[in-house]
Amino acid sequence: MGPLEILWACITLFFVFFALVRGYARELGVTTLIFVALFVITQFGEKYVPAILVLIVQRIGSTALSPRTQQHILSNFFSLVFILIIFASYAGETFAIKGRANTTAPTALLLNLLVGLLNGYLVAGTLWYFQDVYEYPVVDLGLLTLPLSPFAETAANFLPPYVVPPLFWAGMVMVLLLFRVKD
Amino acid sequence: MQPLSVGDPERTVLFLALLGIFAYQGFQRGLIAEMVKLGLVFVGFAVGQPTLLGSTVVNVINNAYGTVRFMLGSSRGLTTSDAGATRVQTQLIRAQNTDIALFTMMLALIGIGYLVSAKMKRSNPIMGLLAGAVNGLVLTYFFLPALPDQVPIQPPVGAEAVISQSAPNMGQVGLQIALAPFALLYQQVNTWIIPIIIVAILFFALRSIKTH
Repeated sequence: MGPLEILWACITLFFVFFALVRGYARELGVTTLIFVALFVITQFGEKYVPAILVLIVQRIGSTALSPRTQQHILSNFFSLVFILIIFASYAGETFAIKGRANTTAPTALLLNLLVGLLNGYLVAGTLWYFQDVYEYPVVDLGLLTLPLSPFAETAANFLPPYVVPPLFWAGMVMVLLLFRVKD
Repeated sequence: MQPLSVGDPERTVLFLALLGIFAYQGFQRGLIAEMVKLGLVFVGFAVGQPTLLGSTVVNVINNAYGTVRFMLGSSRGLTTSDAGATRVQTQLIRAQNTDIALFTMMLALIGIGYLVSAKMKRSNPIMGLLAGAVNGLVLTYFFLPALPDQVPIQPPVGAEAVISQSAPNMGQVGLQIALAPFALLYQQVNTWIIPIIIVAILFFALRSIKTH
């Protein structure tokens, strides 16, 4: 795998394309579910899942997991849950914001672009965060070589869960839900 | 030109206030009007700088003035005996008045931009808001460094404050203008810039969805 920031940029670009095709009103539904996922994972998941993991290991009578193994399990678990939520937000009956979206050419294009960038940043940034906070488990699989480039080191300081408190996500979910139910 | 200083709280407050006022005005007038205004602000700024368009404009005006005088037969200043005196007498804008004339022309062009934009039909207010903010940014970027450092902030003391500045690299200025809001926000709020940008995008997107 090449530099991590290139992968990050590619994922973001995919979400920009999705937004350009689907329109920002639909993409805001995805944004809502990303906010929900971020709130649940950062507020509760990171706190309780490690404890539950230790409890499970004790119950099945296995030897205690090494810290690195725990990091592998937690990183993969949170990444998987997050990806499943993103997948669910796109599959089947989607959670779109009600109403007529603006279709005026320059404004609609700009909005599609901005919302696509936002979703891309949130998804790619969160997946990166699950690597960064658990000290890059993918390195052990030979998928990434450390150290990161200077740019990636700087960019890693701006990953969504690092710069935004969990309650902000909850607040944003409330705003979006209020807007959705508003007649 | 000195880069826009954001370290000084008074200047920052003034800068943000101006930005808000211009953005609101842009919202009221719409995108097209703001683009016209922006164009005339740039032209006005270029005319105000002798090294950009200023000297050329002065030459054109002086030559046109001389030509008109010659055609009207007012040849008092066109005697061939003293070429130097002739040149001085046929100049409408003399060297000692160049700075103030350019400054006046710059203000006039910016004023024309405002008058024309006020007469235009409102279109696309959301984009107008953004364009208005850009207008505010451009104007404050050009004129805020001319203000004195001491508080309370005073208006520029005269034409020299603006005109005497050396001509900036316009490409560099454009890039700095484009990045200035982010640089300013980052310096003021640090990583809170990310939540602020997220809220701004959501506000912008939700506001444009019509529920009825």
